Amino acid sequence: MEAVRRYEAWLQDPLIDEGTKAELRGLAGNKEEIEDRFFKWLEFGTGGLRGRLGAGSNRMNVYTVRLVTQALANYLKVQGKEGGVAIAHDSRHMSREFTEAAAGVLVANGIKVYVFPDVAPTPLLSFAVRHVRAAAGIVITASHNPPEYNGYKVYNERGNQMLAEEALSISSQMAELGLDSVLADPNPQENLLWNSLGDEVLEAYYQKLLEIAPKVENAENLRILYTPLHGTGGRYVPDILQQAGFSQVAAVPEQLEPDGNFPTVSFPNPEDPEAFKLAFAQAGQTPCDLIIATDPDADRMGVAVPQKGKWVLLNGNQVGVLLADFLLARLAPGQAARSVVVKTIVTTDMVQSVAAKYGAEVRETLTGFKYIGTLMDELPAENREFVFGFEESYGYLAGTAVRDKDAVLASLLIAQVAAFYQAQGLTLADRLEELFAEHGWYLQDLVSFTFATSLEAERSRQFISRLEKQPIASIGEERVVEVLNYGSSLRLDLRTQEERAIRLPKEGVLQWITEAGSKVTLRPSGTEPKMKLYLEVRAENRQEAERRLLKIKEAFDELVRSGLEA
Amino acid sequence: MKEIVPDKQGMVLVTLFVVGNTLVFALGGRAGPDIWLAFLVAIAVTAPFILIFARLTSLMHGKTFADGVEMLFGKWPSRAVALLYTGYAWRLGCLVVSHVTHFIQAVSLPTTPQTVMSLAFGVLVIWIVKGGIEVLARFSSVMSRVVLTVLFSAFALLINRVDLGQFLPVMYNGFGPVMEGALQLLDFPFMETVLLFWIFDGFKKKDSAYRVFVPGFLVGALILLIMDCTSLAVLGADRYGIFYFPIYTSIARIDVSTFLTRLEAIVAVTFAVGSFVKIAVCLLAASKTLAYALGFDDYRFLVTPLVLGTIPGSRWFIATSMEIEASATKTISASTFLYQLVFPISFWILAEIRMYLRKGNKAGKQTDV
Repeated sequence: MEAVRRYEAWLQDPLIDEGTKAELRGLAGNKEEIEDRFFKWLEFGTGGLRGRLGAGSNRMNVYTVRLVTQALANYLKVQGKEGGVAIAHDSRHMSREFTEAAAGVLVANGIKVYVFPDVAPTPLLSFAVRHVRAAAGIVITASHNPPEYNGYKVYNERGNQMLAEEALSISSQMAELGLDSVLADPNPQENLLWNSLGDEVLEAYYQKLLEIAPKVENAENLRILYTPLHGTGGRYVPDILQQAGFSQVAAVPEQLEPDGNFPTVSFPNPEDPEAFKLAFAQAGQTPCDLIIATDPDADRMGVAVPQKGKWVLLNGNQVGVLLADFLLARLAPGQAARSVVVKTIVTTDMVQSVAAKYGAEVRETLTGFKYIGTLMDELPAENREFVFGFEESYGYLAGTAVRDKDAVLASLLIAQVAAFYQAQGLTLADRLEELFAEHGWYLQDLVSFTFATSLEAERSRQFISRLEKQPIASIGEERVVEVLNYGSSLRLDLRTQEERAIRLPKEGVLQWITEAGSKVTLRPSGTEPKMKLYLEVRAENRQEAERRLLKIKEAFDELVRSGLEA
Repeated sequence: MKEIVPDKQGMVLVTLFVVGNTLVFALGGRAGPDIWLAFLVAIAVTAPFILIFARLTSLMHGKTFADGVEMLFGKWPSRAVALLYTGYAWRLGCLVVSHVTHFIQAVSLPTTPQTVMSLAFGVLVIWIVKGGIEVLARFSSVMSRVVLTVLFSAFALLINRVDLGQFLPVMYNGFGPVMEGALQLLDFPFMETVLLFWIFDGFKKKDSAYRVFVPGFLVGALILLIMDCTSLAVLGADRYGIFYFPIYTSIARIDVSTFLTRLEAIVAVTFAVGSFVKIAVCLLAASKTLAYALGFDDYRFLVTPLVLGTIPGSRWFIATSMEIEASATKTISASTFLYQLVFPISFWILAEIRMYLRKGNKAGKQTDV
């Protein structure tokens, strides 16, 4: 009923343009579609807004973008945050229009804007916020979602994605607003508060990246094939590689230009092996040593390496461990002792062993780079230095110039690692095997459970509630020794029944540690009827690790199935 | 029974009413760097009216304001006027509730519903308004020491951040912005003092009204002048005009050797106290005028429904932070012109005429209205 009322209101609203009204009139009689488009306003969270493009309050369009930008403007004006807002966008449909819509609202509110004239990676925006001392940043992107999606991410003045408290302030402002309360300048580019971000920012960014990753020998001999998957990385990644001395960089031509249709991939996601299909084909014709892919907003990176005549995709944990090992090995004597590597609770523990070898410390945060970015800012007060942060979902960051995962920097770093070991006659896969041999075989798997019906979703909640109350004693053949309940911030040792506090913000995640060192993490989605299961085992050899991983997976599959039926 | 408030307590009540919920807003922002001129103009324009109101109260010495108005207009017209002031006072109370709950939610409690905060304020307001003007004046007297200490400490700590160059050049854009700023100040909060005349039952002496209203208003106006000008000199005119709560923002910048920080939280408390006093005055005025308009001797049984009505009322009149800013920075409107100027001046002129006629009738033997 509310949806229909809102639909009718949009049709009558003089603020809504005729094109949008025509699209809405086409929905007449289609109750399901009207309900879906209008049953609520897109919700603003720490990840900003994300949704399908189209007319409606539950869709990404200039009206929802203006509304959330007015909420952001109100938040900045309430908090007295000055310095303006930096805005970047990716190559998706409507991204530029949304950029201008957001800028129009900000300048109408008397807030200065710094706008990238062309598509720009998310990490560059994070850098720019700090560089121009802006009060906030906006990136118009839906990351690796399909073409029909777009999104709106907000960064704080530290270049970090908004934390929960900041996001709450904006969403509470947004809840008060209606379309008629939005101030908007239809021609923001003519406003004196509009500033274009030129090459000066880009040069400063490149300079910082080259300081973080100084040149390595053999760079000129490494043959790299790169694909931006039609996203924003097409200019920036080849640029930085060239500047770092990598002279043999080829690109997948069909995927080089920004294109919001992402026509050559089903998902522009470097985690998806299908995204590498064209790159593999090109590598077959023109040999290369390394394939790098970045997602549309160039914050996440995928890597493929040759191994025994085949291309093998490294997962996010493996790339993270390679980069951590490389960066820690290059630290000056004495520097490692105050160095910190940051990972999330679902990211591999192998990096603990790697860091220990160099005398560095590993700290954990909840899932999400906003937590890593926040921790980065806290370390100097403890006389600690952030060296590297990563998460299993293909996000990596070194140094402190940026506060979000940076695929431009990660591409440069992984190329350096590859060049360094190539000079020693090793591929990245070889080096990874060396690390496994040294630190043990860590294998991971990720299982997603989606609950199609509300009954299933309710049963899943009950199942998780039971797991919280009744700790699992064993998973398959492995005895559980510790249970970490991040929702209640308690870590229970089942051997001693001793409870300790977890010093992280509360989040509904459960984790089990087995006697053999395996780790299983159950993370329900906060917004969708889904849960993810992160599995990791450690063994002395690959065969043993694979066997145990399979056992744990089967055991937990059975546990979930019976749990949902109960 | 009439409640008589000591002059000093009455004066403090007037001061806190003027400072009230205005402390964190960009008052007179339209004047830009000439804000101090706007303040001086607004004070100069308001002061004669305060004198007029004081004179009016003095002429009505021994009677409540409502009784005095009844003598001027007769029973039914005066009741109608009182009813209009009930609406004005209640609406102003709603606006202040909205201001303070929006402010608290925006700066510190984003997840707490405004209704919960309104209810918390409401319970306290019911208690104090039922206690009467004596309790309210005593409360103001005690709290004023806290409010003034905090404000002047904050002002002192901001001194080293003040850039007097922000006030230059003087009147670069002419006198227009100064007038706009002055009109903003007249509407909110200076001329709102008209409500105070409805809440006092009487004063000890005939000239007490002068001692209560004139210094009370001037001290309140001076506090606002100092705090707003300091804030503008710290932030700059552009930011002063853009930020919703510029005094709060400028105080957030106090950082004395890193150990004396986050003072804005304390200033927020003074804002809450000032707002509480103003809400209480509004609701006391609304209750008293309504009781008079309906012919009741006691107003207290009307307090609870009127106060509880401000909870939804605060959402009707203002829904967003933008509307709060607009309500705090608008220039004088036709409806407020009626309550703040037309009625009071009419009362005064009629009272003077009546006084003149009585003088004539009694051959120079002066009496009150």
